[in-house]
Amino acid sequence: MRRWLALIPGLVVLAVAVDGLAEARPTLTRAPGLLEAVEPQYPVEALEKRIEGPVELWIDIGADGTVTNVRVASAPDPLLGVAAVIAARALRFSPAEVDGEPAPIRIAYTYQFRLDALSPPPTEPQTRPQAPKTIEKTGQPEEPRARASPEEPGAQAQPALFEAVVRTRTPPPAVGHYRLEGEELRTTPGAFGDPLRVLETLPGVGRAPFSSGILVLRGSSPDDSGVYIDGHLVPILYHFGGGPSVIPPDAIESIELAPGGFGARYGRSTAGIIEVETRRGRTDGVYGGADVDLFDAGGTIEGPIGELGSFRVSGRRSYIDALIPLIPGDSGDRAILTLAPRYYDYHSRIDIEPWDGVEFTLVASGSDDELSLKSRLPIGDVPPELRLQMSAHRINPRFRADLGHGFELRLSPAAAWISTSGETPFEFLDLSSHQRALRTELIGRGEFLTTTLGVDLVRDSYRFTARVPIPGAREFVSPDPRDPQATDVAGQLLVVQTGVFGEVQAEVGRFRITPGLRLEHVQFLGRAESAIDPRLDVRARLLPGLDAKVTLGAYHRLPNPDELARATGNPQLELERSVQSAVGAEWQLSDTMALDVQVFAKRMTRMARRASEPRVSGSRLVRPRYESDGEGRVWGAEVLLSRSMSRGISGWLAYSLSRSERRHQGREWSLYVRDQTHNLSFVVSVDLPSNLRAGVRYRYVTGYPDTPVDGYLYYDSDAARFVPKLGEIRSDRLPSFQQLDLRLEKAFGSRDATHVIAYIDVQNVTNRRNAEFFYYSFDFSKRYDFPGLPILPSIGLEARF
Amino acid sequence: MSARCTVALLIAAALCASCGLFSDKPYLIEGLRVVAIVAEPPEVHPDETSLMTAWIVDLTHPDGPVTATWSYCASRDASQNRARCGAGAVGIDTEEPVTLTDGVFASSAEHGVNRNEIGHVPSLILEAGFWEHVRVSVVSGEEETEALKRVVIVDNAVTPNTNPILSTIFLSRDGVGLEPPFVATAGEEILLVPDYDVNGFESYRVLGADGAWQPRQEEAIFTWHVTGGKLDRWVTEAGDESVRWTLPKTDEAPGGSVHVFAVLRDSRGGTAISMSTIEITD
Repeated sequence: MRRWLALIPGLVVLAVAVDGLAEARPTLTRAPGLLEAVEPQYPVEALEKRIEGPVELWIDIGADGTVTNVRVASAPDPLLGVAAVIAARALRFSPAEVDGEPAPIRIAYTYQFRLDALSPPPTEPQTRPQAPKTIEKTGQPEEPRARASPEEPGAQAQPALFEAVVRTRTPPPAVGHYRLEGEELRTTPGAFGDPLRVLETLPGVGRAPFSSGILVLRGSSPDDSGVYIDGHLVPILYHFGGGPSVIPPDAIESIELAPGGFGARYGRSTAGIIEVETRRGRTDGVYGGADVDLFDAGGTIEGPIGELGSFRVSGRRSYIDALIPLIPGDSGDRAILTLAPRYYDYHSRIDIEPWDGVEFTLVASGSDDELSLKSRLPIGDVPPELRLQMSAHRINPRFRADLGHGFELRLSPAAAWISTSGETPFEFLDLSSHQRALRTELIGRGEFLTTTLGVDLVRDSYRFTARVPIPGAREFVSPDPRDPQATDVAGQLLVVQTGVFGEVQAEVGRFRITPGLRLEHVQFLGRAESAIDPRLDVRARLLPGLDAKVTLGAYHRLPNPDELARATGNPQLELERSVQSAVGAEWQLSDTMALDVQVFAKRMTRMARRASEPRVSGSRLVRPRYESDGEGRVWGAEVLLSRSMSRGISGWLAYSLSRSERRHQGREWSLYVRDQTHNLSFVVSVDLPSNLRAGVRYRYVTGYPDTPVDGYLYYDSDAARFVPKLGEIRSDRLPSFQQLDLRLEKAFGSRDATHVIAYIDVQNVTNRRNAEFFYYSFDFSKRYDFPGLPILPSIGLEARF
Repeated sequence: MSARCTVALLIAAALCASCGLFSDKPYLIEGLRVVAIVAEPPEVHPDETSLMTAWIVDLTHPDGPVTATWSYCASRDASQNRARCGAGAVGIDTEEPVTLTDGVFASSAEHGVNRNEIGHVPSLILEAGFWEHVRVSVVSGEEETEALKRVVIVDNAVTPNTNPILSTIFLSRDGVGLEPPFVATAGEEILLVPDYDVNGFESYRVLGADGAWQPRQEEAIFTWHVTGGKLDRWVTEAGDESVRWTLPKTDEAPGGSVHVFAVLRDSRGGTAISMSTIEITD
């Protein structure tokens, strides 16, 4: 979201010390704490003139914590000085205390305005445009010296213990990217502290069934979107495929969402991407944190490694498997399911900077899940028993070096081991895959041009044994309604994908033009396929604070491994393709309010589709299982109105309007199964007295398309089941989805120092019955709706020290 | 449904474990219903015929009359056997249904395929088995229903499938077998065990998705249906065939008796059916 929201937890507030105070003088017993940081606007003129540097301020804080006066002590340019003063006037502090009583005080406060080209590792190029800067805390203040002047403001100068950095970001080359960082990653109501769950409240992100977390970006299949962690594509993002995310929340620095139209650095997705940036350890001391809630517990420890760098280790384990048996259970017919999920994950990172401009990073991460389920009665097509085990472990060393003359080199190899096994009474799957990847980028930054050249290699090898239904097998219909008619298969698949990309970002007057080109070469099963994906992003500053933006691009991806493997799919499938375009505007309405509007269109071709019709070829019957003749089209509009934290209130309103359709072989278009016409999210957080914070999230989403059923057509005597009389495909819809979530938390101690937060997060607080799908009685005479998650509270504690 | 959605659905269902949602009773016959259609034989060579018999239950009009009309789909697509052929349906000469017992009827018709009619079917398909959909439409009073059965046509070089043998249903109470005529108390639990030929299941082969032949073994699958009471399950398989039947109250047993049907299928069209009736007393 607004990246300046990152300020909320970012600045650590410590005491102001003053030397030379006589013991007889009053003593500062509590330093002011920064409650609400405000980001200055980086003046456009200063950007154009490439002015940067520190702006030092004197800030007088009243006994009630409000800023009563701001004065510039020094500034490299009046433009920056004015911007800093405007921002500082909106800062809010907890009152300082002298001899135990609230008292006015003066502090020194520094805003560091830094241009992107001079800053250490710039962020990924896809950043949010209407706030082309962010504030980061750099260098923690030293221990408070515990004494300050209790005299009237202005009476005594204080050392500069507050410092914030205003850093320009690499301008975004693509339209419609949204960034989440800071507290909003963890405190959004209904997300249960899971940063990746916050994504579904952003424009362009469809609602996932059962809050499962699957990504439906701009009306596309979850398989069409990619998730990158520190630049590498990861196949598993959620425990159990749809549970909590596999990255400990403490390990995440930021999440950036591109529901479509991303730049040339990334490929192999025809919809959108999500970039997760992990967090470095702190260098100013050893810190720790712990989180406990009803489902899991986790912790983090981090600190410096001498003068060279930092480390951070985060981990989490669930214990819901131990708690479920303690819940009083039903008996008889009502005890339908038993459930025993267990998961853990870890993420560790070491950053070392042995020489100026040279950085080494080592990241090791992983997750492991086990799930056992048993039902007494059949539920639709859900198997009566299921066991699932998933694990993924990854190591990712990285190297970055400033080569001088504005050039920077980045190398990032990665290796991952992934295994999945699942079993039902009729099916099983054992899949192991190894991934080797290498991403290399050379970045050159000049006054007007930023050029990125890179190579992105991925080698995936899959090995599997399974008993699964194989499309196209010519079986007589099974008389057992539970039997999916599975076939034993085994196989392996090796896929090598080589991407070469280049991107040039040119600043031309009011325009920022970013053309890019990505060449993709894919080798698999003795075949080789290539694709050329040109991409273009243009941004124009129409007025101060008002940008227009246009993006256009082509995208390719390889069909899923099971669709390609000889044993289960069709090795002759082509690369799937999409062409995406978007036009929009971003308007900074005020210091705290921003509006982002865009319309988009997407056309997808050569999509892999299950083939039901066999072909007779010569004397052979050809059953391709899958064909590359699927098509899709999506169009819509997205609106985001956001407010950064100001006067204790922050939040956003997101709305998406879209229509997503599919067809094959030139037939009539029909709605995509996850089409959602309207998707509205409203999130607001309010700081209350007594260190309380309350948040509300409300969502309204059009129901999923559904095919109406009008009784049964006939009784299939061979299959022992009734066959429904279907209406027009997906011509009806489920009822709309509405959900209200609440979160209330109370901090004990300052949020910027050692503290404990107790919270309750309640999903679906009204216990509304939202239908996730319809199911029918055996003869289709009665229809029922299967409800989504009922009211679901989570109570927890967070400690930071 | 994707694996991801399945897991999410299961978790949601677990959270909804006490919602009392899943109370479907597919085994319970309450009105007009075709319990099964038996084709004798289930597979034929071209120019041979099969005798189709539909077992019909009508609790609303136990004395009839019931009318049945048979038809088949004339659209013989080589690649796909169409169940819905609409105007392409061709009528089959049908005899009047016969009454087996109160509320239970049987309707029969003969169906065969002339070799000339399937001349366009590729030999590979005919070797694998080309199935044709035969339907029966049943009308009783104001109620009507339809049922479908596949008749498999195979090349002359292939030995046709035969129906499994289901002799009867054993009924027992507390481990003691009941003797006909069966009489039991309302609410009593009865164990139902099918008596069938366990060696009557054959090997065969199917055309795999890759165009290669794959070996298969017939499997015995039972479905159970009753006109009253409650079954602990309604689908069983070889080695674990029996079911427990809790008899209904007397006022829930039409005519003071209830029927139980066991239908045995061999997983490739072969079908056998057996029925028993119990008189319910207080």
